[in-house]
Amino acid sequence: MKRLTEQNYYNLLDISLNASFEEVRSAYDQAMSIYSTDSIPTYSLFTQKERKLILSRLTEAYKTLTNSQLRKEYNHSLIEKGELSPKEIGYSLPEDSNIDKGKLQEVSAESLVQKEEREENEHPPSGRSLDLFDNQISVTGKRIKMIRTTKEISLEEIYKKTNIPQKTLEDIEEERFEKLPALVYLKGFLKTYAKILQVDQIEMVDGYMKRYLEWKNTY
Amino acid sequence: MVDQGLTKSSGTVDNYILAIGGGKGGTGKSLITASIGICLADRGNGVLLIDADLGTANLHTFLGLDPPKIGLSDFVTKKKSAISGVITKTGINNLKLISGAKDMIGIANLSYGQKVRILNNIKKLNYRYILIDLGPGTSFNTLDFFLISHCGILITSPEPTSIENTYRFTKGLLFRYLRKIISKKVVRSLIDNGVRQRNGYKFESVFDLLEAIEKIEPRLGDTIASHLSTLDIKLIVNQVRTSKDRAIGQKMAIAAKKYFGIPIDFLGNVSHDNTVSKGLLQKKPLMAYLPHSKIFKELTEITQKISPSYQLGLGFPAD
Repeated sequence: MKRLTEQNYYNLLDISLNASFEEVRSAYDQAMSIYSTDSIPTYSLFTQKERKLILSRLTEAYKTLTNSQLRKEYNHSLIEKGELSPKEIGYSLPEDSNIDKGKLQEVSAESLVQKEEREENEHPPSGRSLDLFDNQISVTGKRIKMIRTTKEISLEEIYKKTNIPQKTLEDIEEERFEKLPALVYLKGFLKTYAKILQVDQIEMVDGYMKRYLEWKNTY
Repeated sequence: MVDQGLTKSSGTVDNYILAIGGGKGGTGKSLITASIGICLADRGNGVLLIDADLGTANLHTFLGLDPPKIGLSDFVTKKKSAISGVITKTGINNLKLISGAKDMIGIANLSYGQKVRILNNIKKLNYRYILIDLGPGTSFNTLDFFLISHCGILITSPEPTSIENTYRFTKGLLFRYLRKIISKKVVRSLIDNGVRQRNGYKFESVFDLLEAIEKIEPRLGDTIASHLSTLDIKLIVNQVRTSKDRAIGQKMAIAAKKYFGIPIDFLGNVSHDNTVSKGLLQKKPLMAYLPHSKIFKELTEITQKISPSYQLGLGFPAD
């Protein structure tokens, strides 16, 4: 059983010898999410230093195995080391696919990790306030207002960021259902609103819609 | 080399022993043990629950029972000579309990002899399924109970601390298991030194230990790897809330296999469910509110996956 930094590329990515380029790509994506610096599933298993080594090895593996020539050379090096028998490489290499390798050309483990972090900051994981929606079948306007005020966000701010009329935002929070716009607009507003509040968009939209429909069915 | 236990089932087994453990208190081991037990009993299987979490026993509470008058401690202290003498009814069909509730000072620390006696007696019982709630911690006793079972289930929550404890437990399990299967004295003392970090031995990772072993006994590495791959350990992530939480279990299984060489099956997620905490506060038995809760479906699916006949691809009949 070898360290991750010593396993051959195929074992490291958990793929077969004749994995297609697409398969290599998805194995690589999955592995990156498992071993990235802030990964929760591997919390405490590796030091930062070990992680960086693993990540750069994963990138090496990806680059090598998605390039026909490099892959051939790599396979031969494995045969020479005795890790593979020539018989196992009796297949033909997958044709270079249309994977956009240009995007990954100058990639390093560092920049990939930073990219992930940047993406996380731009689109914060939804569900941070999920405990407020837990088991709530409906999401009331009152609840939405509470979340907003707890986070100290004013209606004006939301209007400035989203162009949703302040009046409409008030109507949503005060549940003045008869004043709300058509469903298609309402749902869009709720989704954007949820994004600003950093709560799960689906939960908020579905939850509020339940409220709305309850009202609609009674009157 | 290895006395049975924790190896993948090769056929239908009676007295199928499942051990439920995991590093941290409060992750839901007792809740899940009770729930799975109820699901299995509901399908007509004879089920025995054993609360081995002496000192902080909760299993009876989940069944809506007052602390039973007899329990495991009576067997340990030899007040009852046969383990069958400490089995209590639960009021649920097909489901029996050996409670851990009767606290006795010092009872949480079982001696080696006491442990062996419990294990030997459990093996002689006659139930379809035996579920042992091990409670938190990574003591040798806990690890050993885990290792003699047919299937060990780890429970974690999505929090980093819980995940860290799960891995700590797995590491402990690995070291303990290696010590069991390796008879060579010099290797055993290497492991002991490593575990206690004495005599200058410090294994930063599992790989360090295996490298050190390989230096003394070159061919042992392969033997170890093949033995490790026969272990049957499963993982449940409990108290899941977000989609990010839900993605953790599968990734942990992959990482654990890579890091420990132990195949861990991810059984599934169990959602955080307020119904359960509310019900507990009202001291209602699980059965009263479980079937109406969100997590019932998740637990039923998990129970199906545990059944050996299911694992053999025979579906999930009344067993």
